[in-house]
Amino acid sequence: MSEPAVVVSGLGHAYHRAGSLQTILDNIDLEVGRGETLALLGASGSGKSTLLNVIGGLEPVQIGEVHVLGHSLGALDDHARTLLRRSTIGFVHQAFNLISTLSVVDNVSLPLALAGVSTASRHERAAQLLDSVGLDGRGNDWPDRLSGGEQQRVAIARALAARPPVILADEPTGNLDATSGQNVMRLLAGLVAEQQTTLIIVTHSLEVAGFADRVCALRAGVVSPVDMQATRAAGAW
Amino acid sequence: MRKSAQGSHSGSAIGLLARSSLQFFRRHPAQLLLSVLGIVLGVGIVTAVLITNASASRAFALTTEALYGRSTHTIVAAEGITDARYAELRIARPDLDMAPIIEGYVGQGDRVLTLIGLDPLAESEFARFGASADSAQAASLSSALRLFEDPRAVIVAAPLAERLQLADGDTFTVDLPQGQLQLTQAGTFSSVNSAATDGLIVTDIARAQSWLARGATIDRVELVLDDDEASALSKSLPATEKLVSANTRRSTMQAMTRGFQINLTAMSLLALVVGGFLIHNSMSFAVLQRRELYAALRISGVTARQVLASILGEALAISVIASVLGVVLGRLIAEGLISMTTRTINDLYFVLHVQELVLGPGVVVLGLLAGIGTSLIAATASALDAASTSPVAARQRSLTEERTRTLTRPLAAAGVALMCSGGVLAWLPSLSLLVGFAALMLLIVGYGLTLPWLIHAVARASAPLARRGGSLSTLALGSIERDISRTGVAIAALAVAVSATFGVEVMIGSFRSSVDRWLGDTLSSDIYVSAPSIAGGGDALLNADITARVAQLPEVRAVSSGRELYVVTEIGPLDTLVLDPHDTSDQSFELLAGTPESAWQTWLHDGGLLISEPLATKHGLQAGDDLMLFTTAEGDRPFAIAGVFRDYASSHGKLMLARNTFDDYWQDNGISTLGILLNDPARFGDAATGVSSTLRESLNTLTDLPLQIRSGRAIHTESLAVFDQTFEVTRVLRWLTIGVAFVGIFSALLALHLERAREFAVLRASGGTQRQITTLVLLQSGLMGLLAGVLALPLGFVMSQLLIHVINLRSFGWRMQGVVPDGSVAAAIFLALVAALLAGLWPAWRVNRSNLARGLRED
Repeated sequence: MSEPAVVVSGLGHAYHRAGSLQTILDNIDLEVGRGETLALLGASGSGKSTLLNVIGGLEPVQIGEVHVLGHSLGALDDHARTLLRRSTIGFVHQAFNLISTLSVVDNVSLPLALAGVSTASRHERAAQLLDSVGLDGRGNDWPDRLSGGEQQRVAIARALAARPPVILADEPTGNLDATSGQNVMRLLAGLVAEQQTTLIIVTHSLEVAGFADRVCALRAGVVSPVDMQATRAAGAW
Repeated sequence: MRKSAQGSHSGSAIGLLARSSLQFFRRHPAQLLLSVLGIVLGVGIVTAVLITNASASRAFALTTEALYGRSTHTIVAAEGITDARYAELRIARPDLDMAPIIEGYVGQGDRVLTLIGLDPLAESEFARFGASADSAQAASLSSALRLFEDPRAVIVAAPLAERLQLADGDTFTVDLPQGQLQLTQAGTFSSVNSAATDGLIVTDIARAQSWLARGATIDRVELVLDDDEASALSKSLPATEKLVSANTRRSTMQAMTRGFQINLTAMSLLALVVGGFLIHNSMSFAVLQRRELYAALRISGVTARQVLASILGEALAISVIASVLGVVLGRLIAEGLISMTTRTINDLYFVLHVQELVLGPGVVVLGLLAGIGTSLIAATASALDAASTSPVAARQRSLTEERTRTLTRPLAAAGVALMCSGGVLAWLPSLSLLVGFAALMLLIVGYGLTLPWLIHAVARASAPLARRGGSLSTLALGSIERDISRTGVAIAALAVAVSATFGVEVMIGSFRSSVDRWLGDTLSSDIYVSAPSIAGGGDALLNADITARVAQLPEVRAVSSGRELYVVTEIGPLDTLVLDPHDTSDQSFELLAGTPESAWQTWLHDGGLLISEPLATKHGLQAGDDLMLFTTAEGDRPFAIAGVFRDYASSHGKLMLARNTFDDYWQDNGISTLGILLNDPARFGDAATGVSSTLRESLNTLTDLPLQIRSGRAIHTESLAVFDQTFEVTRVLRWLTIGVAFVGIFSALLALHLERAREFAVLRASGGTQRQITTLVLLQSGLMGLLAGVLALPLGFVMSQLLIHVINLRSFGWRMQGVVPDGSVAAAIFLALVAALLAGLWPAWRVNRSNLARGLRED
């Protein structure tokens, strides 16, 4: 059996807030296999976004260990984490985080520009991705002129641009209506399946979680598997 | 009833908006601080110059009042008035209050003191030195003067005595033309306003005559006359004497410094215009960053007018606080400026002692108005934009940028129209300085309006070049073009500031180069000899026979002699040089009007006059005109102007008479200066002074006076040093303007980069390293600086031409050749680049220190 894409063990994380230390994650263990899609459910403030940020190297590992494709993030400084992120991780955010003053094609090719890929190659790749997310011919538009669903599709294209083996999606449908959310999730799931990419989705939506191979919940700082059937039967998460 | 309810709703909405503004600045304290700092510095510079000018004018008025007291008229004669003639006048008109006066300057360390010689017995009606006729001060002054028993006794102005730490009976040394003299303080005098008399020492007129080597002559007789008495006396005076109103003399002296003071004010206004751009910069950032907030408020029912009122109210509040602080800062800057300004006035015009700074209500109100007015004008554009934009459009940043890009074209067209209007104004044949300044301001504002379009065009044109530099340079340059609403204002502000410094540098450089060339031409003799004088004055003369004796020295090839004095003319007393030229003297004068050869011949042989360029410009005189001079022999007599010569020595004008012409109409054979041509200049020069000790000894044996002997080269060097010192105050103001610009670009870049915090977080999340982000921020800052530097050059150059050919010509009356000093172009670009890079350092550091995850979440 191949090594998991992401291994989190004994992870703890705390923030200084109003002069006191507030624990957000406490002794978290989690494994996500290569090519697997994991949905992480949790109420607001449960720490699921923090967990995603630590796995993505946006925040340092405070306690415990996090391995991404065999690289221990705790042993890496900010620069090394950035380089690892550049080559292995793509992000999809709830608020899209597109740069409004860059065209759609420039937004998609941004990770490639940072990696020093030539203009021609990155525009070719961006065009290919925009085609695959159904935005063919919209490359010269400004992102803030697109609908929410379209903007999230641009964000997905950007996350996939550098062909990362891991995609981290933080509430990817949180700003979308139900139909758009479904469409975006279908697209994202399809693309990661096609590219054998590992996907970790943080969400509080059961519909979104339904696209995952496995669903876990983060409650009171502990990750536990979720029985989707039972949860659906209960009517709410 | 309905109206009042509406009013109350409106009031509470404004209150809410005000709280929202307050919260915004609480979250962005650095931005608030920098906005305030920009205004504080701008107002500070303007106020400092206003205080400096007001203080110098006040000191001048007080000094004049102290010297002239209640006197209404003065009798002057071409060569002074003899003691005998004064006695005659007193006997003839015992009914009139008259007093004789001698005024001269003595050195005291590095200061120049004004020595007044007066007759204590004649003084009681004149209320000089700020004392009323019957006051205790006048009594003590008179008694002190009567008590002079010590032949070296003087009474000293109280503030001066305090500064010199003198008590009655103490002695101090002064420098006189014939050497040093130890004086005794016999008493002090004070006036109602101590500043009026600062720097004055007073003694009996007979002693002053002796110390200042005036023989049995007094400078003037002062009188207190009513109009009828004045008219009668004027008619009774012989042709060789003239009755002059005291006001004429005062206004002549005031006119001398007017141009200089106006120039200082112009520099300060330039700083305010730069400050205005920066204030506009700060205000537009603060508004732009809250466009979404304003959109949300508009959606919630806040009217466009309320948004407008809220933004203008915020600008008003900030500018009031900042302007008050600016006035306080101005008072502090003025402390430094006043000494430089006084030194310049002393070097160029007359001795002035400024003891206290004038911070009157007028100055405070002008300073506050400058700051508040500029801020409100600057904020209005942003406020109107925010209020008129539809709430939906305001939420789309790309739409804002697109609108700005679309606006750049009509703005540029308006800018070109303004610049053309400025050009027409400058071209109008007027001598008005105000019109000149209006042209300058139109040019600056017009160019400022065209800058966003130019920036956009240059950035677009440079895109292929940036692509060659890699992804980061493409991103950096691209964001300058894309974020034009933000970058355009910041670059324009820096460009205007740098252009102002470049323009002033070119103006000073052109002036210096013209003066340098003029000195090279004027100082055509190898050596100049004069009787010793002290700074700011001195009237020592050489014997008339010295020219012939010097000419006989074997080392000497030819000698010219000059006499410098005031000649009373129909347009007031004028500096006059009486010259007995040697064979190359004609090369010393660059004749600007008239045929050079014939003008020189007419001047030399046919009794013509040569006048300096400033005199010609200011009074509209030209070759062929007549000028009435007050001669000893015939009283008023017209002299034909043979030509106009270039002269940078005096901005209020100068006359030149040939010695033989002068001798025909005046009786004064004194000589102030000799110009000597040597047979072998290389042999008689030495490295330090340009004059060998052998030659020095030969010259000194010809007279008992310790002669001042200097080579033309040494005078040239010293004159340039005085020139540089004169422009010290301009340079200081220039650096302060750069300071204002730096704060502006710093605040602009900080706001720009902080606003892009989310964008940088996205870049970091997408794999951008800290180094890449730092490089990106610095690259963008540097490119903005480079653009500002390059775009500043055309404006700076045109500004310098306006300063040279319009403002200076109208202020001082002299023309000069425009010269771009070596390295000034590179220095301007370098300045802009360094300012922008320095300003980008902190934002770069801040961007990398901020929390990435929070950056991705926050709006």
